[in-house]
Amino acid sequence: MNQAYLGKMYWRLTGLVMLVMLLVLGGLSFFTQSAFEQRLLPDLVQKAVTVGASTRSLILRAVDYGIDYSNLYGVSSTFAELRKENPEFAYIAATNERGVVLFESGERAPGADQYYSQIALSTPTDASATPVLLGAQYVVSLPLMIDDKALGMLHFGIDQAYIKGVMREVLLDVLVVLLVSVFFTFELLHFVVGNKLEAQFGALAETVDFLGSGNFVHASRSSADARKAADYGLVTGELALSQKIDAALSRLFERYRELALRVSAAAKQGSTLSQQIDTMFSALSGKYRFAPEDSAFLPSAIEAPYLERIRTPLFVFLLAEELTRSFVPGYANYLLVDVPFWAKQIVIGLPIVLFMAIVALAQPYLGPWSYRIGRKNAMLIGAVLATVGFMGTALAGDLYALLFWRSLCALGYAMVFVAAQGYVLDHTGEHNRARGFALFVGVFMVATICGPPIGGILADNIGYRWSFLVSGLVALVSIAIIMGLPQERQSDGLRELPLSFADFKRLIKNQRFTSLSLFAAIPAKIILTGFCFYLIPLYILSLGNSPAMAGRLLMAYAVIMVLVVPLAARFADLNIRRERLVALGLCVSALGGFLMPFFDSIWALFVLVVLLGFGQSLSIAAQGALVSDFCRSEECNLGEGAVYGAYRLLERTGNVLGPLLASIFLVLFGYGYTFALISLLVLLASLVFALASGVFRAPRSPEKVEA
Amino acid sequence: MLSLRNKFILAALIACLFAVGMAGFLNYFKFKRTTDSLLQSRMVLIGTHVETTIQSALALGLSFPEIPTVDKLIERERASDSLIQGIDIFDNEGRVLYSTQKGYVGRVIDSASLQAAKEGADKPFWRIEAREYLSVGIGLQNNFGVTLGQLVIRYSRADLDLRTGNMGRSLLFFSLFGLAAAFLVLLIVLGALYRGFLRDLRSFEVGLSRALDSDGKARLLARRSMNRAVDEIADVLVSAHGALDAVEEKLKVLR
Repeated sequence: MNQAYLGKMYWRLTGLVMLVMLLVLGGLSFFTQSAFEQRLLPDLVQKAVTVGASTRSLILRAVDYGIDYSNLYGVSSTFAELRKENPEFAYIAATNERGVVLFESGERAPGADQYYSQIALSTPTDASATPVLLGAQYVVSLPLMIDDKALGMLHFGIDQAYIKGVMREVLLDVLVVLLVSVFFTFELLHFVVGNKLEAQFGALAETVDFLGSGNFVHASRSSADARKAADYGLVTGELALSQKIDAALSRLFERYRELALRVSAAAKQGSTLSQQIDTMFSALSGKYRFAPEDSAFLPSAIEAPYLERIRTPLFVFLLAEELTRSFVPGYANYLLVDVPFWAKQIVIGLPIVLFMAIVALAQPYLGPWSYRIGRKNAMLIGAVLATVGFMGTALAGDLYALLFWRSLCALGYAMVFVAAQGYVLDHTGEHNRARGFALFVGVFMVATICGPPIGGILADNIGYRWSFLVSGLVALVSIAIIMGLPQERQSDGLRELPLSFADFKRLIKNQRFTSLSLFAAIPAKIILTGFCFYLIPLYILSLGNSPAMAGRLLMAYAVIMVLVVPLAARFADLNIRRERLVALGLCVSALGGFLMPFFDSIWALFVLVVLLGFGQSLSIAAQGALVSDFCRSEECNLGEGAVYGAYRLLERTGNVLGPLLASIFLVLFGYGYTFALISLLVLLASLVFALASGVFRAPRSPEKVEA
Repeated sequence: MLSLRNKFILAALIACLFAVGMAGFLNYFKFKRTTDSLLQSRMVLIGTHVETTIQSALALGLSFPEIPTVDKLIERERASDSLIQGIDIFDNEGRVLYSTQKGYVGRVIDSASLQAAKEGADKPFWRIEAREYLSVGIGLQNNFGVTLGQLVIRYSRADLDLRTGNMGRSLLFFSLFGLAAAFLVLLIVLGALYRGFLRDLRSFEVGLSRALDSDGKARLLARRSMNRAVDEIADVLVSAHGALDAVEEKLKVLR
């Protein structure tokens, strides 16, 4: 019985829900396709009639000039042109009065000849615009008459695949929705079912673990704590396992205490046997934990429900911002105004640059602030600001208004982000901090998977402004959920101090830290924000695609991150040198950019995104671990928080520089070379980092390390 | 307060609602866009036909404001498609030269059309979405590529709204039906899953209770990984008591 069991349970449930969804969506698609066909066909037929009328007038004019109908020149090529302009027509033909095809373009449907002959026998006025399904074409036939004399007929074959094609485009988005639903369901389960159940499972799992390892003191403590949170009777409520655990442990403790007294009395005899007994008893204490001195403070499972409670509000809030990722540059382009001396591309990048700059600069100060006013209050203020920001952005009249409202969003985002981070710190101890941050990063990644594709779909269908309003509504929902967070006492939290300039200076003097920050962390962020937040959404629009496509690509990046980061983190903890992983990851993330000057397609962009995601995944976990490796003495003197605070601040300058550099390069070199140039910069940075950190040097032998 | 089982069903239903709702939303907007683009391309085709005819007349040397066949031509085109509300042709200053609407000729066209024509000068056609109608416009050029004026076709928006509304209702019906089906299936499937979950928990609770009551002597000899933990605890309890027993035995000997 452990948390993994609950995790498996969630996945099983998610799998079942997915299966049901797949069946329902499959059924829906079937019905929708038939409804589409039924309702679009009259329009397609009417279009055939319109095209037919125009074609007919051309033919009749030529015949009017005395040219023999069967010897008209260029009719088939005109039909081919018409088909090119109207891809829904798979076939166009003109037949004579007996139904024999004289001119045609496209593939004739099976049974068409027989049909043409058949309708030619009927009086021409009988021929109507009623479509007849022949093979995979709906054929619409129109009479060609001159002075009440039948010349023949025009036939238009409407491609059935055209309607299927329309559905196929929707299907791609539906698949994206389905994938998003997997993660959405998982988050929902945490929200709807999660807190209490997870607390109970957490407490039970911890007690069981302690019992199984013979740590009876901690098992007893954990059991008592868990009883405060919830009774163990998960199913019946009657079994009261905790009481039974306590009873069993009491029996053990009583025996132990009694024996301890007797052993200590026996030891006074000083005989060999008494010494043997004393040794046996001491060994017993080594194997099992009975003694009260072992019961030092142990943060217990009771913290788990509090920690888990941050999950949903954070997810919903981050989702609101992530929804906008795929279309912010497009919206900036839509609201563009002439700014003197500023190139259009740079102005389009300004909202992202400003957003990133505010988040980077505000974070060091917001940590202590959120501690002072309380994490919940800080999150509430941040979410309110962001909600107002989203609504304002939706109504922005021009780029200046957009910049103002996005700044508000950025401030709100930074507040919520920092406060949530502080909340995790407050509700975790040394033993479960990694779990706390895994939760934080996990929520972030899930929001990154769900937000951009859904935002892209929304922007594509309802437009930028309504999509920002949807983001505002999602942020509003997050406010309601944040209000449900527990109001913590100020003393509950860890006091945070802003990073001082002296601390920062001291860290900068550490060359390995500086090289990691300058040549790995900053370039990694430059390529990430430059590509994903700025270039890709704009480039996709320039290729004539919709923001939905940008959303899909950003989702692909996030999915790769979710899949590869845990594996890469495991590598980073193994024997592989972390510097190598960082350098290799940066190199891989840069490779895709070199494709872009040569291939002007979505597929090249997809390869770029995959390589970027893979490269970032390789280096991200190792980078974080290297900070600690490189700054051991600074961590002892300044504290882990200060060291990581400085590192994150430097890293975030990369977030600001990414879109800025990309926009400047874009003005100068165009899309293809901008991708390649940024990639080149990152590649060079990774080489410098590799050289500076001695990646190419032979690894030290284990003996030397030991020595 | 909802039971655990109902919470599972609620979460699954919300997730289904999201997926089915999004699918319905996507289908609705796809239909709307496809219908809109079909209607628009039909209007552009009609416009292009009129443009070709006017160009032929200009090639014969007629002046743009005085082509005698245009009135009949645009009236015929309007009559040919029930969707068309009106066709106007105006010169570069916005003065209406030909119109299917009586009394329009000589007036100045609305500013929205003039603006749209100006902005769409380098495009094959331009478009306006007004509250009551939609319109497409095409620049009319002579054989030397000089723009002489614009042709505007106004067509019914109500028709498009009606069709998309009908499709929306159908999609809503499909979605609700799909959701109801999903609810029934989930009720059955999640019920089975939940029963399995309860079975696992009961067997764990009962097993652990027994192991604790008997100080580890009763065990499950479990095959399931979840219950293996119970046997591990039983082993540890037995071994701890055994170790204490051993010390006690020695103490007895010492006495």
